[in-house]
Amino acid sequence: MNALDLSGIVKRFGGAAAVDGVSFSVAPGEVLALVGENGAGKSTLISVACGLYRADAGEVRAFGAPLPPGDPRAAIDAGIGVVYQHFMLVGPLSVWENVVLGREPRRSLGVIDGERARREVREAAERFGLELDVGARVEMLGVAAQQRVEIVKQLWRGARVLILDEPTAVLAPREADELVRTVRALAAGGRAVIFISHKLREVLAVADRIAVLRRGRLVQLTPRTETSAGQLAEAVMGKPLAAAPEAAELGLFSAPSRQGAPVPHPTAIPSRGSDILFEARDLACLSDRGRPALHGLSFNLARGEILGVAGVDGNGQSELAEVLTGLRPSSGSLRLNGAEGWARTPAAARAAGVVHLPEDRHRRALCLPLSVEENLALGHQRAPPYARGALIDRKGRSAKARALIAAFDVRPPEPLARAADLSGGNQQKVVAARELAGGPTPRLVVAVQPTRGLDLGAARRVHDALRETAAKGAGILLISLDLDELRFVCRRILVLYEGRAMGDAPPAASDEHLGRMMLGQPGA
Amino acid sequence: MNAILDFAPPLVLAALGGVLSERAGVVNIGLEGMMRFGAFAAAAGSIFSGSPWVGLLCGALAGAASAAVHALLSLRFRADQVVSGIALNLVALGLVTYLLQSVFGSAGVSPPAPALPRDRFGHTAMAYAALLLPVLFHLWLSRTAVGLRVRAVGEHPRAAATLGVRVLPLRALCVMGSGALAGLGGATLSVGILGQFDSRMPAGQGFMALAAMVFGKWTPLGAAGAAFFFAAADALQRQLSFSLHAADLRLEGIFLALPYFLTLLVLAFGIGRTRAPAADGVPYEPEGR
Repeated sequence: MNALDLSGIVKRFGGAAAVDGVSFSVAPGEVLALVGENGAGKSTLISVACGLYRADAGEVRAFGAPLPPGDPRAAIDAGIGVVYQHFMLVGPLSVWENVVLGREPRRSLGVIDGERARREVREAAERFGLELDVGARVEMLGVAAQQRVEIVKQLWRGARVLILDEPTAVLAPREADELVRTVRALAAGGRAVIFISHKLREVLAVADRIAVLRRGRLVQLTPRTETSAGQLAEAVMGKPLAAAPEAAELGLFSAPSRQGAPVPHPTAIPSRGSDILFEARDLACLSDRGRPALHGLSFNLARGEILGVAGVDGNGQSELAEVLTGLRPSSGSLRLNGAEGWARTPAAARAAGVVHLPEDRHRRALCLPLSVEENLALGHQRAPPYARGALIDRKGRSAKARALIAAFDVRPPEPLARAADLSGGNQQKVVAARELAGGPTPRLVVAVQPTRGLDLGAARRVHDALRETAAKGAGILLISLDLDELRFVCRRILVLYEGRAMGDAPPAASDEHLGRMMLGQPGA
Repeated sequence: MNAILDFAPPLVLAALGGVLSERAGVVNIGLEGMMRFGAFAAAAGSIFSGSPWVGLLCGALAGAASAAVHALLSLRFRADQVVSGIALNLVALGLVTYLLQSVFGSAGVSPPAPALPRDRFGHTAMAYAALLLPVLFHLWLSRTAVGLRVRAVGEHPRAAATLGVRVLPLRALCVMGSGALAGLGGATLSVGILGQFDSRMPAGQGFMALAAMVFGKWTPLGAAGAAFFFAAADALQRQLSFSLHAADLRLEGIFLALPYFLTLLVLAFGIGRTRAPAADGVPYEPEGR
């Protein structure tokens, strides 16, 4: 009997089908990988499978029995457990409290049997070889440990079907290898695993069968032995590889070996000591929780250089971007074109020529209810062509918006469309257009995960815009969690660990080399 | 000391109500209005039944019923929780004044209501409730399964939902429980302390309870401690205003402002870890993305 059967699942959001008639099954002891681009419907599909969303059509069966739609508890009781990409953990609660939440072992009067809960959680973790401090507060744990909490949470609940949504997106390479071993062990123990990823290399290492989703439809389902990275990449994109040279850009087609990087783009200019644009010395700052986020960070950036910043999520990358754009106070020395003091406020940083492509474009880069045209003018609104004197120059603004929309291929090419109505990729094009081409030529570009969640075309457009800006003499700091992206765009990769630089490496450095640095061993 | 045990219970109960609602993730500015409904309903219930205990029950029910409106608006219809709470306060102000006029034909005070009995130390049962309830509430929140779920729902409702916890019903129950506690606090004002309803009730005590909740860092014991502290300041102020000459009555304003001033200090300088529950005031949408 199959562990999980999905048949004819359809789920629409406001008319558009995110999942459109998908059927497949997973057997106990099997690892099924689900691959596809962002927006292909992977996350929506699992939200249906675990009862969080109610499907518009189709049926979910667990071990032969149909599941009532829109009932997460029934799905849990049937043995379906999901580890979400964005962890579903309550930070201020302890590890064991997170694990038992909703199914607490009790004594009389509804009082939780804490002793029993802690013991059971510890045993579950040990049984599957997962190291955990059950009494620790979850928000104090690192990302990899939080992921182990999520897995133990599902196993303790008796999950027999484990769904992992982009589990390696936040892990360093060595941690990802560890996870792959855990997944294989779980399958060997008779559990069914659905492993969702857009990294074909991992998928080929972990899966028994591989399902490809494209635009909400299942386009291919094959055993691992009958496919290859190239063939899968074609299925994911829906066109031959030769027609999609950008494939490498999103790491879709990283070869399974650790041979290193594809050839970097020819317009990337190497760092030259004589032409230093930007210099950070002994940079330090605190995180939102008041703990040191950066300490003693020093690095240089040359004119025209694109410097990659790698690291496991949460090692000071966000804080670094905020310091450079004037959003977070810091100590140490920051020189741009030889001048200091420009990073005290966002206004001063902008005046000095610093532009920002923030990590969270909805909260920080765009005002979603405003039009594309208005969003393009934000931050430049006092100067021509956006303004004339104290008033907005509507004609000038509109003409400039049209030019930017054309140059960055924003679709639909409609200046008065609400920013909220654009797709994520087109929203990011709007941000890139405003920051890189909306005002005077920038001196320093701080781009944080600028292609996260974008389809290949949009990602390529954003990368091209960064290269063009670098070619005009700007320095670019590209902060990303995606090593393949950094390798493709940068000539030099700086690795951050706990707010310090572990050294830099050429893009051809192996995953192992970069991974060691990401876990805190200084590079050569 | 006796005065403190007299003045504290309304504040303690309402502050606990605030903690209950906000730990579950629903901002409750409406404590003041819920107390007012509770105070009036308790006086009316006590007068018509002849029993102050029935009055207390009426007060709690009226508080819970008005809180149910807040829950409906802010959870079901996802109205802004602050706006909904303020609206509740305004409705309470108007509606209770109208009811006082139409039921008792008075614009100022109700007829005397049968009051709660006092023991040989001069305390009502509510004084003991104010001492005992915070401890029970603390144990409930920290040790029981439901308490764990309440904390989870106030911090990360989606995480709780993925584990099968029903977020909206749980939040609704907490808001109604919050209203019952605030209503009971209001009832203590009318049938516990004064023995009648006064149209000025609760005279800002609901807001003071909110201040106590923040001052107590959203914990039951902290909020109750802060409420006792504010009640002590209040008692002191009353003593002083008896003994001071009329010219010094302007000092009274300073004492009245003290709780709010202290709360501002705590918020401004973040003494210790002052942090509201992460999802406090954030509407939860079951199919949100």
